[in-house]
Amino acid sequence: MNAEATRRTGVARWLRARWPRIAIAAFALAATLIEWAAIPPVYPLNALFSGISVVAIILTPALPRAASWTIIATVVARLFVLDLSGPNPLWAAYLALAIIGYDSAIPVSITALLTVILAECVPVAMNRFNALSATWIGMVNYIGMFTLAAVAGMSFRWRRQRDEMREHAMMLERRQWRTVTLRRNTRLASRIHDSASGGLSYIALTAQRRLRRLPEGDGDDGERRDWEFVNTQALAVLDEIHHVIDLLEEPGVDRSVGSGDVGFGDAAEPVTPPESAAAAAAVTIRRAAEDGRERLERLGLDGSFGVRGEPPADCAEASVREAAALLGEVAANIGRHLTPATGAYYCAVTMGDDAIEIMETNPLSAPQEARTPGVGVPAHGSGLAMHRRIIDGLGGELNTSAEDGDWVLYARIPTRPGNTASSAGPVPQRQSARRGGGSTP
Amino acid sequence: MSAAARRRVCTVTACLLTALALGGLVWVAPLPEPWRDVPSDAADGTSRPLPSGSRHPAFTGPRKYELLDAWNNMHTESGRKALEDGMVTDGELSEAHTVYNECLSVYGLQSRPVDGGEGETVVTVRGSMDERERDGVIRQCGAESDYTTLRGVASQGDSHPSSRVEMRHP
Repeated sequence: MNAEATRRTGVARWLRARWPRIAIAAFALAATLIEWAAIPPVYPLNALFSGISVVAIILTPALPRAASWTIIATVVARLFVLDLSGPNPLWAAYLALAIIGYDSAIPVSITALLTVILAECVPVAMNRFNALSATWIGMVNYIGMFTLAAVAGMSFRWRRQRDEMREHAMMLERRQWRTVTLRRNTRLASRIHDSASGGLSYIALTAQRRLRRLPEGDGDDGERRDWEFVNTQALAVLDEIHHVIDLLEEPGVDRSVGSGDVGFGDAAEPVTPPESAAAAAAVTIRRAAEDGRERLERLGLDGSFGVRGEPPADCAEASVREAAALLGEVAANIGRHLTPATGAYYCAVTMGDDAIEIMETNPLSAPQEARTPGVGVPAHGSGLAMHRRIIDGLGGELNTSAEDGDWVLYARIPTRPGNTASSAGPVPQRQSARRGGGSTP
Repeated sequence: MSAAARRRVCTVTACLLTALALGGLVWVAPLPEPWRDVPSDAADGTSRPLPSGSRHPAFTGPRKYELLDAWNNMHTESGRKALEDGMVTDGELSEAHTVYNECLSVYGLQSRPVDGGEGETVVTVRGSMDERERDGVIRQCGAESDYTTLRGVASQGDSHPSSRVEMRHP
């Protein structure tokens, strides 16, 4: 059954690839057969050559060159039979010249053209009744038609060669771009590895050394917890950096095994059923929210991360990943820019059927509240900008505003990118001012 | 199918087809080619009616000598068969016209009866003949296919005026 279906598909593909040849051959065949029916060939030799010509016309889509040269041979042979009955050989001759012009090199096409022209000129020279025209001036018309057929075939061939050259050039350009990108990625991976991995490893080792030195006792529980937190965070970020390095080095392979992706798809596992995919997505987002809350709690910041709803069963992995990453970025920004004295933060995550919405608000630090030099973490300044680009690519939106002393962030990430349903109400996009040394969106 | 196998199949098919074509050529070449000498016969007025012989139908009536003369001038057995009963039916005339057209088609001409068979139009479909040669071919084909004779007998039998030929050139 499969073999039969494969054969049928192969035949259909063959027909689709050759439909122009089949159409032109069908036209020539129809004209030939109509003329055969109207004036059947009288002489047996003429009938034989006409029959061979018909078979050759039918075979032109499959064996273009051989069939075309066979047609030319029959056209020349019929000139010697001296019988004008039967189908007009010119239909087949035009078809043959066009096909040879398309499928063969220029010298071969010119040879075929000259063969037909010279063969048709012989009866004119010998003043025979089967000449195409009694006069040489009349032959100009026929020579023009033969030349037109051959040149038509050659022009289609040139067009095809031009298209092939363009495609080849594009393919080379694409390959070159891929090579350049790969080299750039390798440089980036190397730079990230050299600059970040070492430092993070040192942080983790320092935390572990401190933990070993801390005596067991109730009084040191808070410090122990802090160092454990530092160690865990440093190892988690190191793991993520290794993952990023892997992505840069092998873009097609996603060996995501970081904590952010636990329970959410592994290439070795079979396809997860929809219910578990939705549950895994919910777990990922809730875990990202919980991680953020924990980090901020350790830093002494008050606030809450509320998560409501459930994502749909066919929620895209990219949307879930971006939502979790955005929650991490929001938590990091809160940690960088908010102080316990300024106020509390509030973050709400709503997982709906069409989109995952994240809303975060916190009071802005007053401009005169400067941080102590050497305390705090410098921001790169483009975290939210990168997330905005990613979310725009998914068909969502990320808006921020700083008004009336409050910072507000709203993000809407479609659960089915590229298939966005009705969007939420329009939110005016307002660029936020720099808030007390914080990052710009 | 691998490329080598495909090439083998194509070669074998090509050889078979070529052998068929050559075989057909050898078989067909000795077959007769009627109407070959029509132009030359027309030029020198050659006519090759069937031998009269002693056997001929016993025509009766006022036209028996005309019918006997026509019988003796027949070139084909089918023409004689049509004349055996002393009259030419429309079917027999139509058959003779088909043979006549066969002869004309060898030289790129085609005839079409007009005016209910009283006349005909001859058209040049292909080729290039001068007018003198064309007239000779039309006359000779009419004679050698017995169409002219049978048409004459048919028209005289129905008291129709003598047929006329109209030439039409592309």
